[in-house]
Amino acid sequence: MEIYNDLKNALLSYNKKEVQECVEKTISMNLDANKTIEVLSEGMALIGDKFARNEIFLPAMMLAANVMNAGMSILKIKIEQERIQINYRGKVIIGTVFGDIHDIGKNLVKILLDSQGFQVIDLGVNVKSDVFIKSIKDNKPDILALSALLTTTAPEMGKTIQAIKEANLRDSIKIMIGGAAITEKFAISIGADGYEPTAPLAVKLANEFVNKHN
Amino acid sequence: MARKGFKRNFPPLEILRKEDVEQIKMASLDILKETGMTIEHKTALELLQKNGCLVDFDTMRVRFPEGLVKECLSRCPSSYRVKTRDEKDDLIFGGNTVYFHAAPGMGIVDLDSWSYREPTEREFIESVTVLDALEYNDYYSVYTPYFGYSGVPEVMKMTMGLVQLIKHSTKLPGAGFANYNWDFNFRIAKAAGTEVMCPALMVSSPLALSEFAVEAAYKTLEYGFPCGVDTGSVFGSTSPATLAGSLAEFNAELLGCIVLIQLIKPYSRVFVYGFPHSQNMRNGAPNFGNISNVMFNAANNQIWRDYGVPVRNTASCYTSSKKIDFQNGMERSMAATISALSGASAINLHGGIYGELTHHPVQAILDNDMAGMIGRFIQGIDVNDETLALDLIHMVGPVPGHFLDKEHTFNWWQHEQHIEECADTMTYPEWEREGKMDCIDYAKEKMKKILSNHEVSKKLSVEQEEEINEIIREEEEFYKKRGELN
Repeated sequence: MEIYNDLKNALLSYNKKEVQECVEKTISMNLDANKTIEVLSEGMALIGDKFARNEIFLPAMMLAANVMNAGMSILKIKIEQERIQINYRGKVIIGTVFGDIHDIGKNLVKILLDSQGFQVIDLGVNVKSDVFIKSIKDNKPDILALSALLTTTAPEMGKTIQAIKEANLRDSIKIMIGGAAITEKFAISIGADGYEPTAPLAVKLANEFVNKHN
Repeated sequence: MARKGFKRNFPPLEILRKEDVEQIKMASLDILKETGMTIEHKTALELLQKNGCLVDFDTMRVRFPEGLVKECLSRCPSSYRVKTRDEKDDLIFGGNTVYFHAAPGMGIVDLDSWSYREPTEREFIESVTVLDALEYNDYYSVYTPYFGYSGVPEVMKMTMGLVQLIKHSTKLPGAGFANYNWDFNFRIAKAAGTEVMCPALMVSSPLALSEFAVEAAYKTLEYGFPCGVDTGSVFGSTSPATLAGSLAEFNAELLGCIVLIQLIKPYSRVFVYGFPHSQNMRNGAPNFGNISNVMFNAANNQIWRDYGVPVRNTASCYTSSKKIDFQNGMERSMAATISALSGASAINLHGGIYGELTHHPVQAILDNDMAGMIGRFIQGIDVNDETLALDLIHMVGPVPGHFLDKEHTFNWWQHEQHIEECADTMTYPEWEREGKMDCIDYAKEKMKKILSNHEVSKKLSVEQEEEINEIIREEEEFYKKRGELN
């Protein structure tokens, strides 16, 4: 449909005004809101591919996400009015583990996951394992993303995973970890499901998790 | 249209106090007046005498009156255009513009053994192709990239090198002189429709000009090309060991050259060269990469900025290292940065490694990144409503606000950062996964890419090629008659 092509092209050219106009048009045409979200997500996936090929940099990807959200904010009114269920790519709980207050990396991953259509619940920094466990029980996420910058706080990730096991929640989620001092070997040693060294690769890993899951 | 180079947007670095500058200038005038220079050229001596110099024809010694020096200096244009065979590559020297250009080597280094040898014709052309493709290589020094290539008779090497340079690049070529080849080289340049840069009036330091150098200057001016004045003080051997003394002598030599040029052809475009180095007191070689060379350039730039004549600096392209390694990077980056900060109009950089002995295109590719970084630095920091981003800071507010998805970031980050093409900027785990590549590996990859994709923007016409071939034949005949070519 022409309107969907226009919407995707507006997103690919980072044009906020055009994206909003296109979304308004889909509403006036009474088109399916989830289909509009799907088109925007396809556009974001193309942007993600460009990023992966080193054709664009983070600010371009993030601006595209911002533009997409500008369209989504208009769509949200319709979604709320008509109580439409949004089809998120997946649900992620994210936080920096207990003892560590560094959050730049964690925030970057959160922003990128948001932009890729994930529902992200950010528990912040210095998060104790029982807080993670409560949030997993309450929100039933697909993925738990743990962050730690310091070598001294990284072992807390292992303790958190152990506590999740003891709470019989381990099999219900995928756990990914990240941080400057983290290595693949460490991730395996503490029983995480995956690790990536950069925020964009972490999003790729999250996509792999939900694709396998679905 | 012309090459933009970089603009230095803040006051230049001053290593000398104002009174130091004046004292050195006065000392130079005193040297020219009291000791003078030896100039081994009868016509030049007559011209100098006619214009008020004291000339001793027996010793060929010339003593210069202060007024004449100042008058000739005032005839030098402070800014001028130099034309190339493709207008986009023309250069406008002067003001706060800084150009970077390619440096020569007699041989090509092997990147594993670090030994060197004469390049083949193919290697010569490949090096020119890389230099033509590099964004921040604005033109070529003399003998660049190599003094010649294998399979060519010695007397023809410089000419054949120039021909390859002109064929495979539209950027301004340098022209060197040897064996009285100037007419042929200048005619080749004219046939191709380009000017050339040549350090024609080359001083034999201390304080002497050979007949050959003066003849080269006459020819350069006859063809109407910019005339470079060049001297190569070695502190402690051909000039005093002190930087102040060397500056005074170096300066006097250049001023003497400028007098001669402006008397031969008033208001000619003059470019100040220079190959100043401290003396390696252990082996007698120039001490490439020494910090005193860098300091000398900074002071020299300050003095010649004051005179209003564009200056080119050399120290940045030559290191004492034989490899592309830390010492090489340390010495050349410090020299090039200080040159740019202190007001050089051109900086000799791309590709030179040790002395004028070695050159490699991989080094040139790495130097291009360095030129970009330095260029970004001298452009300075824009401070205005848009760059202060006060409204944006208010809008974003404290955490969880962020700037990464804002149009302002999208519009500005690449302007503010210089992204090196060959630096390793990976995270540690990425670097391990991707094969632990370093900047030299990336430069090698880039070289392959350039050689498979790059084409010169404007080829020589069939008529131009024929004319150049005819000049080459004439030059061969010239050397045959002189018994220098079989």
